[in-house]
Amino acid sequence: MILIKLAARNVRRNVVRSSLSLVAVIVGTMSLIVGHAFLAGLRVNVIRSQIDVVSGDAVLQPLDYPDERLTHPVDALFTVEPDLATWLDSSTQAWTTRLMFVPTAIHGPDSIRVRGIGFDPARDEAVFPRDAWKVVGHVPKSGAEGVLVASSVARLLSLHEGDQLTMQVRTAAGAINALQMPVAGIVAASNPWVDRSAVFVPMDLADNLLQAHGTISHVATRLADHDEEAVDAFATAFKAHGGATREVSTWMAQTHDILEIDKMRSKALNMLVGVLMAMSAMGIANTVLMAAYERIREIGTLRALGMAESQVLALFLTEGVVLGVVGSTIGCAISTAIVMYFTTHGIDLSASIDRSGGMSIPISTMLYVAYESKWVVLAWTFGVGIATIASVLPARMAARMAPADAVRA
Amino acid sequence: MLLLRLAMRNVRRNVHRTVLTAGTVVFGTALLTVALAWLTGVFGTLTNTMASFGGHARVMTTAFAAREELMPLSEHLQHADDLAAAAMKLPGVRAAYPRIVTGVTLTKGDEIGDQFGLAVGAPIGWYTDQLHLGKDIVLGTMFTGADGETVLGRTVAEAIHAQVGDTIIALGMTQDGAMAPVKAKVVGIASGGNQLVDNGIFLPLEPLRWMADVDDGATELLIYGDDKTEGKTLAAELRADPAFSDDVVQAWDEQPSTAGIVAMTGVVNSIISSIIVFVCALGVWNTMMMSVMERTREIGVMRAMGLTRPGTVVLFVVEGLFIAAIGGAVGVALGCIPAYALQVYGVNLGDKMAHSAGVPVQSHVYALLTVGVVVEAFTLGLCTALVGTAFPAWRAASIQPVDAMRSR
Amino acid sequence: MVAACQLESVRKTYGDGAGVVNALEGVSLVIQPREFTVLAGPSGSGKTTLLNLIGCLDQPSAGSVFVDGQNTSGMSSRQLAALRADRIGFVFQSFNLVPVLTAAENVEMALHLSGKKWGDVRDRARAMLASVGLDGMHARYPNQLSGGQQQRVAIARALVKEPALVIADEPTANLDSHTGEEVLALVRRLNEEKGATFVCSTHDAMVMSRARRVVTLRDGHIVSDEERA
Repeated sequence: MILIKLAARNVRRNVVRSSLSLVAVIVGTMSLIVGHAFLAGLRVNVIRSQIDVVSGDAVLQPLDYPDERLTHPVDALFTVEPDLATWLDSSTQAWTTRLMFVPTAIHGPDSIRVRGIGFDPARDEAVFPRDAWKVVGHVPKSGAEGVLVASSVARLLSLHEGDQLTMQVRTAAGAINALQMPVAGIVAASNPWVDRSAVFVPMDLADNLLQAHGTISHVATRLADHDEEAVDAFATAFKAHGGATREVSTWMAQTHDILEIDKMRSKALNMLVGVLMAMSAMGIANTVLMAAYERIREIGTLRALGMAESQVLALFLTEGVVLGVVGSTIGCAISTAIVMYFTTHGIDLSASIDRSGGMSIPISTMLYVAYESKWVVLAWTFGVGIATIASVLPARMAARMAPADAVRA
Repeated sequence: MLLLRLAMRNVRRNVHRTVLTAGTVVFGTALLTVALAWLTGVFGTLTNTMASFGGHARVMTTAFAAREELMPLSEHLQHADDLAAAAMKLPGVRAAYPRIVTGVTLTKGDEIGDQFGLAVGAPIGWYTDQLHLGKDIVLGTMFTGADGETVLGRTVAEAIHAQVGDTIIALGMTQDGAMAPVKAKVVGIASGGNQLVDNGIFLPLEPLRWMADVDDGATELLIYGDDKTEGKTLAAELRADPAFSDDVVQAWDEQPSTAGIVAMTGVVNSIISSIIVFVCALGVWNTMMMSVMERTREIGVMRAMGLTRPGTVVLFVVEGLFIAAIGGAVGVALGCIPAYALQVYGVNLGDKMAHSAGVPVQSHVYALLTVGVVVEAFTLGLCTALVGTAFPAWRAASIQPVDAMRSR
Repeated sequence: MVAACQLESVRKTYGDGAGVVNALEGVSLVIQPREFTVLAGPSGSGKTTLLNLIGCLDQPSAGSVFVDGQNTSGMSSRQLAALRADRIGFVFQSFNLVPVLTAAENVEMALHLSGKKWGDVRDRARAMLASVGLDGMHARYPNQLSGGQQQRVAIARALVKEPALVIADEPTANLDSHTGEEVLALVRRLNEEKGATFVCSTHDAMVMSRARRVVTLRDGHIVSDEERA
């Protein structure tokens, strides 16, 4: 007991030095927790966006469908057979068809390639929720009402509600076709995949434009359970309905590449934290070593009083551990507070997405970080562990001093 | 002078501790050398690519700049060759190239294809002297100067299954919006490890001028000086010149997308540096504080003999700086080894990472060990000593002769 | 009766090769319980070395040292530490109290380190402080005490565990003569009342005049050993 008391008081003895060492530990633990919370938030964001905006939980699409940016070939469209429809009705929460294509949108002298999304007005919202949508005008119910244009497209082409937009495409058969259609509404979906390039075209109008004769490019589904195993099981069953010309892709497969990059970011972050922790370890080792130097005489006294080497070791080790525990705890507390704040108050990414050249990637522009308690536990353990390891050497040095020399030093 | 000599002797006095202090500085500067070399390498390649592709400074019409994302051909610079000649008269301008960049659909053979890409039309000199396309050619050759030649980026070539010797058709538009094709023979396929080259459809300037129907116009004029750091100076000169009074001039680092990266470079650099400096200064602070405590009596005696407060500060700061100078030199030397290894071998981030980034990142990233990096790391090492010694020196200076005599 | 401390032809040399210094050359000495012995002699005569050996802070190069009947030669540093903790108390020239512990805690520290069970450590420490005249000062930190008071705490710390032997290294050297006399009076009183054995090194003539036995050292030899009334 008195040993712990002594160690704790020794930490307080040189407040400035101890607090500087603490700062090092705090920064280390904080960067681990906050960094991973942001990465996890980003990961959740990417997955949610993929499911809610792009593909649903699992999607049926033509074989070898490309996943490059703004590439939607229309040379292998297909139809939904009645028995597939029946099966989908029974095994999904909701499903819908989409016809994706890449038209050139023309208004006045300006033209731009956009992402044409042929959608089923009756079914689409059940799979792709529109909670985040801000619509000026309205979402068309049929081709006669026109199209819904994404905000950036509308801005670039100076389109307003009621304007006439010309869409030019290569049809499913390879011919060039163009139609003029009214703008029913302008949508801002807080997701660059939509906002930078999308034009939503009701299915009947898309069918007419592409001369698709009832064929579509995607069947997207929404399941009750987004869990990877449940989705995989569904996908396997779904595959049986695909035949030789269609493939099933799950949200896991669709986000795989992006999540791989996320893993690399995670590694880079761990490296940075490693360096930070190494530096905090140096700070603590130095602090404990200096504490030992400063107290040579005191160590001598304690040794003369009969304190064993192991007890002196424990005394200085405790000092390092106290620094580690206090620093890690403060670091964990602060970062938990920060992370908690940003789990409810999102960070608006739209400015930085615009700055980075406006990629049309599926990601919500509001980033909510994800709190994962494992990182807090890990950071705390790591912080304390590092502090302990760092104190071992200087503490041993202190313990090994010859009492006769130390007492009169 | 005696003061300096005393400071030097004090360094040798407690070797154990001096080694510890110097060790902290060694570790810090070594880390700084590696970190700075790495950052210089990564961001250097990035900004070099951007500056060589987009010009140290760039001229376009006001209307074009307003709707740059649409790349409207109708808002081109007229008589771009004359403008280039006018730019060449300005001091500091080493080269000026008119360039057209426009979207086309690309196909091999006669059928109309649906592979979209960005066609670049520029003088051959731009490809050889600025883009250094020659070193990126992986199959075939560079432009030979014959008519109807094109060099394709690897990604584009793979998408349309084009090989060297194939004839491709790029279907674009005239400035009035009518469709216009350009036919060219693939002489080479290029892969530079970044999106700008891999996704490129490179043509001489004339065929694209013909396709866009812009006579001797161009959508932009790229200006190069001796080095990309001159971008802002060049831009200012151009703005002052009456020939460009109606146009928009941007230095490479003034464009919104690049400005963000340049700003980020600075932020990342200073965060990493300041963390390292902070922790090292903590180490120096610790050991120097010990020296002060230990020498309280000695300082008191010297104060009694007439040593001034500033003199006391100098005594300790010099000691700290001396240790830091030695530690810094060793640290930089040690740090140069891994930094040089990173410069030679680099790190492969993979194509996925490179292509999904919003900026033209190379998939293989190398560190760059420059004199600037070494000097910066060493200087920051000295800074750690200054920061770390400041408080102990101040404490030493506030020792009164009386206190010291009383102390043990 | 077992001697508190017994030295048999003890030699202690420092260094090796050409630079050998003979600090003690064949010293034999017996100190009985309840004795109050003063070691005198000029600087460099071997007083400190002898105290270190008696106090088990160091081991002899040759000969043997018995403390409380136990032969210290061949003991490991752990065993020496345990012996010090149980059987030896120290009083230093510059007090050497632990600055972050209060007077009472400094005394308690000695009890915690000794291997015996002491019942209520706190009460015992306070009682000991009271008996050295520091009633009511138990909660003070060393820097809130005068030199004389600090040395009293150190004496309390040395005696609280009822050691076989108390080593005092120039206990009055850092005190003014008046305080020094008070402290010495305290030591004498404790020597008589509690039967504690003291070995004390000093230059101070006043201390020597109060001793019952004065052992004088010169150049590593005992040159005189006189009993006084």
